[in-house]
Amino acid sequence: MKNSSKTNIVIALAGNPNSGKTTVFNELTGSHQHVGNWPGVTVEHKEGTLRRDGHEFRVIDLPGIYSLSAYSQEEIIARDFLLNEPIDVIVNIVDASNLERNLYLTTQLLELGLPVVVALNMIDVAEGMGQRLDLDKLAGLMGVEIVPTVAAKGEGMREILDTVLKLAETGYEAPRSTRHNPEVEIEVSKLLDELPIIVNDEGRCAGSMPARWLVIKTLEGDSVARQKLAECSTDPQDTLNKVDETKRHLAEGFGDDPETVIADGRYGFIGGLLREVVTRTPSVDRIATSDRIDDVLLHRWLGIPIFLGLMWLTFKLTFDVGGVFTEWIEIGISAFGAWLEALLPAGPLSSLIIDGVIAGVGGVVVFVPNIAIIFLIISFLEDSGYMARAAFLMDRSMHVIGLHGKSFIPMLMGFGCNVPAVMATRTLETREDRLLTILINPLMSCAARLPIYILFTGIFFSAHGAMVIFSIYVLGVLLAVLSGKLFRKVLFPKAASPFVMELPPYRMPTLKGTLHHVWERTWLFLSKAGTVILAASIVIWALGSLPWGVEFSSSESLVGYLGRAIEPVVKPLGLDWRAAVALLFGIGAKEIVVSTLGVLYGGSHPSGDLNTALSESFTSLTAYTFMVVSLIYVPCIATVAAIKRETNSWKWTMFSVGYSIGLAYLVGFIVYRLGLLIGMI
Amino acid sequence: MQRGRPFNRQDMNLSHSMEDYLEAIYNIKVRNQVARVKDISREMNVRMPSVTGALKALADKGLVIYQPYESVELTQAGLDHARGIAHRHTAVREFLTSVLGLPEEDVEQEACGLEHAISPETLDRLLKLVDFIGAHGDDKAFRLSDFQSFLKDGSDPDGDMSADVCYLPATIKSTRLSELCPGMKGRIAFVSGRKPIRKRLVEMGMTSDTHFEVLRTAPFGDPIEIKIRGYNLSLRRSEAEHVEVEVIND
Repeated sequence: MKNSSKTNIVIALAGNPNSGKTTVFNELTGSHQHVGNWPGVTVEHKEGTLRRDGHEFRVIDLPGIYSLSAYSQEEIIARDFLLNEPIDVIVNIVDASNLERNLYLTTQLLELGLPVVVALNMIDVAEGMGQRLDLDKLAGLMGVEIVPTVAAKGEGMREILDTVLKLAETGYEAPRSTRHNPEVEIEVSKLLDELPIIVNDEGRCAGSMPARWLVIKTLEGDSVARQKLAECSTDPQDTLNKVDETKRHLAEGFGDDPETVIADGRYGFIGGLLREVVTRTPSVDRIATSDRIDDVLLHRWLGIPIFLGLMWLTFKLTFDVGGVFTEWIEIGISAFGAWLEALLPAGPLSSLIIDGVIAGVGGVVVFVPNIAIIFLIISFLEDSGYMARAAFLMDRSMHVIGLHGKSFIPMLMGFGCNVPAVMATRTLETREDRLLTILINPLMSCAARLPIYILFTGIFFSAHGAMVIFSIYVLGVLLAVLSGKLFRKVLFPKAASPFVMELPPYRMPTLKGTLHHVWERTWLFLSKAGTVILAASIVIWALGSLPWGVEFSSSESLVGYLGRAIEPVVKPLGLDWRAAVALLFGIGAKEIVVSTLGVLYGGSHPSGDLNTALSESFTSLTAYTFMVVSLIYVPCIATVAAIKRETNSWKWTMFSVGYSIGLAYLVGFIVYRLGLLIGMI
Repeated sequence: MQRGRPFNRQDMNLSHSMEDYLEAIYNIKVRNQVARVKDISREMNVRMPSVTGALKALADKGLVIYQPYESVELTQAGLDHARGIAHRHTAVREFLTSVLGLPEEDVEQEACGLEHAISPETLDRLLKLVDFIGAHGDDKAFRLSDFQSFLKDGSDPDGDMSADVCYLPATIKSTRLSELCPGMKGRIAFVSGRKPIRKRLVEMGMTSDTHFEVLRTAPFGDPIEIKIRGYNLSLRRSEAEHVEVEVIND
């Protein structure tokens, strides 16, 4: 693969989680990034471009992985990409302060037969720990180019590109592959000679898979590699028989299965390397400092109170500080609306823009401060290493509903707002865990639902207001636990994902990285959710205003007809058409429920007073039923849009909507009928 | 960690000699990760054909997986059983040497005989007694009444062995990672169990002979955190059960 005049160079960034891979990616590509999902899955796909010296670099940030075995979805994605896409150079980000485990992935990348540049990241930390590395020797022994970097300070980025360019322009020597156990090496070479497979000059099989890699992976019991190996053979049966024979032979010789022997061999190879290139001088150990911090933060008695305290603080900051900005934005939006109203001639256009677009999109923009703050905190917790600790602390409790410890934070965030909560499920590793957490998240009663509870308890339960509201929150949590158990059993019968997780040393997040993250999330929210919400608010506006000339969302409007059409459906819950319309509009945003109730009940009542009107139209039982239904049914368009974005699937989005409506109806019905039975009215 | 859990001794109707074979396989695997027929024959000082015969009998009971010319694998039941026997053996020997003061070289034979005759309950108390004397002996006065109240409700006047502190009898030299207490160090002997989880554990660096230290357990006792290969790894107890380790005292 000699590319003497390549102008488009594709770089794949591969590395362990916590190796600083994303920081390198951000440093390289700056703002020229595109964030999406890998096709059909919930794993994030990040791609960026940069130009230098007349070359255009396309950089793909692969998911953080520990190995190239097909263990997790991330590994499968990274592997498929490395094997199937036309990549010019792999840049392997390696945490220099944790070489032993990081190089385990490197040993596997080397077998892919692609040029590899190893970026020894956090080299300053490694040196601070008293490690001196002989980089030339390491490069020589591994047969790769090595670039020391400190991504957090932007050091070494230029050198990465220079090295990539050098490899892409002048061609390269295939990196020396990892040496396994001598016995394994002999068997692998024998197989490569004897197998009836078609291999080109570069050691690649048909379909460009490196033959050696396929053989080793097949010995490691990898079913995908096994199939590929058979495909590139003239006699698949004979090939597989021979490989199986070798596997048996190795198992016999080592008394252990070949995959363990090969993994052992890789670590053995790394151990040998490190003995050659690392010299240690005693000094302050960053890891020892990190362990001291954990003595407090993960303390048996203090750990959980500290965590809950931090969460409480997060909550306060998000909604109190965020609330200040939200108010400013609301003032700005209504001023803007008033200015437009004065400017535009009254009529359909003005109504569309003011009642539809500004009301609807404005309803989304007010979330921005909350989302920005929550992601500021989450990204700080994540980058500092505390998030892994939170999962460690909460795993036991979350495991009860078949969830991973990491699910706790998104669930908690749901009490604030389900939109960032659904987005926060990104920290979960497996697709099953993410889907499960996303699906039950709307049952966490968000802050926007609180005004509904306050309105009704104020009228009907003034004596026990707090208790009644609390019961609604508890009901939500209870339903989430039960739904979680149900989903785990029926939809994701595979056991909860294992908890074999690294607790990375604490480090100070960089301001740049944190802000980048916040910007990325906020922008995603605005751009993607905004489009859906814009469309939805126009639809709602049209329903409320047509036929033209009626009072907005009155009984003569389309929505009034709609309301009366669905009245028989909500009748069994003791609700009338106006309540149904309020709930329907509430899909736009839960805040709209109260304002719609104001228009429909307050507007039509002689006194014009909402409280009086409601106290005449509702009983305490129907009021409680209404609160229960408001808790459970579709949270809001913004959440639905977030669910669509995060699950990357209409099927799951529709399932979530359908499930929440069905559950709301069921529970509402039970509450109402039980209430009637015990004589409440 | 559960205290006072009797060591597994399901009613398998195993003969003494079968128990000795299981124990030998376990000890060899802890030491070398792999147990072959010739290793067993050397360890037990018996001829290879006898070993093969015993392995077939153990395989019939579902305790080992054995195919001619291959190394011997313990099944999950076999592993649990073998570990229990090994623990009994060390407990009895410790009692004979450190409490009764018999010379080390004389007790081996006797320990082998005694270990089969002891009931799990007696064994458990014996283990505790050895530990209790270890914790309270010498300069501190050992009182039988203290030990008896310790047996009854786990209370310990000196607090050396209070009930809420993780407790692993000091006589136990090898066991599952999930049994170890914070601060203990060890060596990975081998990883057993289901394939995907086993593979992940090995890939994260838990290969045989790797040294580690247990750092802590989470507030509800699960998961646990260990330091291995220079980094910190957390795993659930149910996952740590698949890792057989040798305890290293420093």
